[in-house]
Order: sequence, then C-alpha cells, then structure tokens
Amino acid sequence: MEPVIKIQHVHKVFRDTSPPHLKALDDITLDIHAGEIFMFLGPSGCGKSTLLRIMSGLEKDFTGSVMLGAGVKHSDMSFIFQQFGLLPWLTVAENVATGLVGHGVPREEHASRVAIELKRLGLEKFARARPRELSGGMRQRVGIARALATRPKIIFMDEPFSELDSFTAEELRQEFLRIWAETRPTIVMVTHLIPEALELADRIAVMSSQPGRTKEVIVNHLPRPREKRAPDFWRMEDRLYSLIKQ
Amino acid sequence: MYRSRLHVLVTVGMVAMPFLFLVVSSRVAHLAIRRLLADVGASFLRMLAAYAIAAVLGWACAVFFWRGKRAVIALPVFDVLQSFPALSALPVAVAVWGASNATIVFFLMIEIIWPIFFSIVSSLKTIRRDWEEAVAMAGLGGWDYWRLFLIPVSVPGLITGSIIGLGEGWETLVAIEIIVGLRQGLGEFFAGFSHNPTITAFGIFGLLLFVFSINKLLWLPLLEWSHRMVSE
Repeated sequence: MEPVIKIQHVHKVFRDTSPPHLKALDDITLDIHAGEIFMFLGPSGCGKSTLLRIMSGLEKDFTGSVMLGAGVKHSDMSFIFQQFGLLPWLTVAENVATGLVGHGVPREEHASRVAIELKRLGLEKFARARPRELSGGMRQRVGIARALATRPKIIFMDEPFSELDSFTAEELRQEFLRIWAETRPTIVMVTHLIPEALELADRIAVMSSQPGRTKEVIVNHLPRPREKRAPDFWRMEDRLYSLIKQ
Repeated sequence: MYRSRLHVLVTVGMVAMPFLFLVVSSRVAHLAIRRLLADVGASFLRMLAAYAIAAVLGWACAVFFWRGKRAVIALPVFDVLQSFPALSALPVAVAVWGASNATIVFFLMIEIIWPIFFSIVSSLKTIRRDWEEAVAMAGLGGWDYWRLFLIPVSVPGLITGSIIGLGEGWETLVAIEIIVGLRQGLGEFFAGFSHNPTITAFGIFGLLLFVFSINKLLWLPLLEWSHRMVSE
C-alpha cells in the first residue's frame, strides 16, 4: 500500500532542557497508510506528541525525513489538540472557519461549510457562543469540526479525549469513529490509554521513553465495532500492556 | 449595556461634569470660557496625536521584539531606555528644533510609549502554544493572522498600557508644555496662574475630573471587555 506519510530516521534532541541534549526521539522509521487510524501508544515523555508535531510540520527542528505521499500537501492536514486550541475571542462558527480562511476557500462558501460541520457535531445551537461558554466535550466538538471543515486527507490528534471525563470521552470516540467511517481520512493519533488505542486504531506503534523509540508496530485485527468486553480485546490489552512494561 | 436608569444618569453626569466644571471655574476665576476651552482643546489634541503614534509604534515594536533572539537583545535595551528621563533632554531639543507642537508631541510620545509597549509584550506572552499551533495549522497568514490572532490577543495589553500611559501622560504633558513654553495649552494655563493657588487647585481638580471620567467611561469598560475576550 502507498504510504501517505513516510518517516525515515527521525531524531529529535531537546537542547534547552535540563539535563541538556535530551534525546526525545531516536531513529524513528515507519510508514502511515492512507485511510488508516494509526496510533502512537506510550507513557508520557516518550516523544509521541513531538513526533506528531514533526509529521504535521509544526515542529521543524529535527533530523531525518518526513515525506508525504503523492498528491498530499501540507494544506491537506489538520490537527485536533489535547486542550482544544480554540481561540477564545472568536465564536464557535468563527473558530471552525479559521481553516477555511487560511486555506483560501472562497468567502461565500464559508457559511455553508461551517454549517455542515456544526450540524455533523451537533453544535448548530452554539454557532454564536464563545468557547468559554461550552463544556470540555463541546469544546472538543468544536475542535473536531474545525479540523474537518478543510476536508483534510490527514488528521493528527494529540490525546484529543484526555481532557474529558470518561463518559464524554467514550461518547466522542464513538462519534469520531462514525464520522471517520463517512470520509475515511488518515488519522494519526497519540494516546497513553491502551483501551483507547485498541478501540480506535488499525495499527498501534508502541513507544518506549527516554529516548523515544518505536518498540513494535502491532496490527489491530479486532473487528469493528469493537467490543471492549470481548476476550480478544482483553488479550490484546494484555499484550500491549506487557510490551509497554518490558 | 446600560443596566438601570441610574447607570445612564451616572454616565451622562460623567460626560457633563468636566464641561460644567470648566464653565463654573471660568466664572470663579474670571477667565474667558473660550480661552479655557482652547487650552484644554490644544492639550487634548497633542495628547491624542502622541497617543495615536505611541499606540501604533508600541504595538509594532511589541509584535516585532516580544520573543526569540530579538527579545533577548531588545528587551533589556528597552528597559534601560524606558528609565531614561526624556524630559532632561527636552531643553536641548527645544534649542535645536524650537518650541513647536512637534517637539511636544514627540516627547510626550516617548514618555507614554513604554507602558503601552511593555503591556503588549506581557499580553503576547500569554499566547498559548496550542493557539499558535492551531493558527499555524489553519494556515492563517498576512492580514488574516493579524486580524484573527495578533490583534485580539494583544488588545488587553494595549488597553492596560493605554490607561497607565495616559495617566502618566497628562502629568508629563503639562510639564512639557511648561518647559517648551508654547502658547496655548494646559501648561501655559498652569504656568500663567502659578501665583494663584485657588485657580491652580481648580485646574488640577478639573484635570483629575477629566482623566477620571475618561477612565470610567472608556478605558475601564474596554479593559473588562478585553479581558473577558481572551479568557477561556
């Protein structure tokens, strides 16, 4: 399968840390395939967020190479942030439209495209609200709507559900899967939760920390929709757990 | 916006008070109201010009210098410059450039630009990493970057800095006008009546009233609004 992102020998050293020259990422090489949900799983400090930022072009200070597949441009990417990354002075609709403004979508299309995403995420009534007036779950819905509005081929997600309570997180995961199944963009996501990785991902890169390395990339064959209380799910959970603990 | 009739009354009162005060004090001090208005007006226009330049220049400098390698060099330099008593150079400037409105506005500007500059810098330092990353992923550039990101995020600093800068500015303006000795303006008014404690006291009280009204009517609501806009 044609990779949509090809990462080769990526190293990243943090210079300004104490102790200095902390190796955040050590020789990461892997391919991400079109239309899959690819998950980086690892403890905090293993450099998985940094890797996500390198892939998305937000972090430019690294060695190695990140190549995009044929026909994929930087503007085909969007990002869903752990702490939502919403601009507090803009309304919900304006936040969703920022990508459209930046991507040069004709102004007359903005309203209709924003309306589509707000409807998809159940935010129609909140179009004119400010982020501070919304709960965490609703804010992340805005973050997702904003990421979808530019119709990206790749969406990066940095622990997008970790700031939410477990009920809201579960609800939003299910909803995200439903939305993903509609258009099948490539998802590259970071998490430290094994069940979350198993519930969502097609493939899971298990990372070790200090320095951040990929221990193993595991293919998740569990059929969708995934049943968390199925024995196969548990078995995979155990396998991932022991891999991380190694 | 206006919560009660009392609120409206207080607002109207605050607008009217400085003008009423002018009229009453001109009667008491036996001054032509025209002359008083002209003095206040001249000073006000100088203040407005200096403020406009300081706001734009301070903003531009803050955006340019607030972080990175530039900040490491520029901020300490600005910190020293800020503490330089600009008024001490004023007599020299008057000797070179003469007593003109431009001299007054320039010196006033370099006095009030510092609080504006440093307040905007501190506002910019509240920028969260994920805001910047969101803006970068959205691909906002050029005017859109300013309009949707840099301007809104620095407005609270601009307003805080304006309140401090203008507060100091009125005092400085009177001093500059006295030193430069240009005809017309509050400086001339205070210099002219320095032998008359009653009128001087009236003048000071009037100036305070004016500054207080502008703060209460304009700056404080703006400050509150701007902080609400950037809070999450």
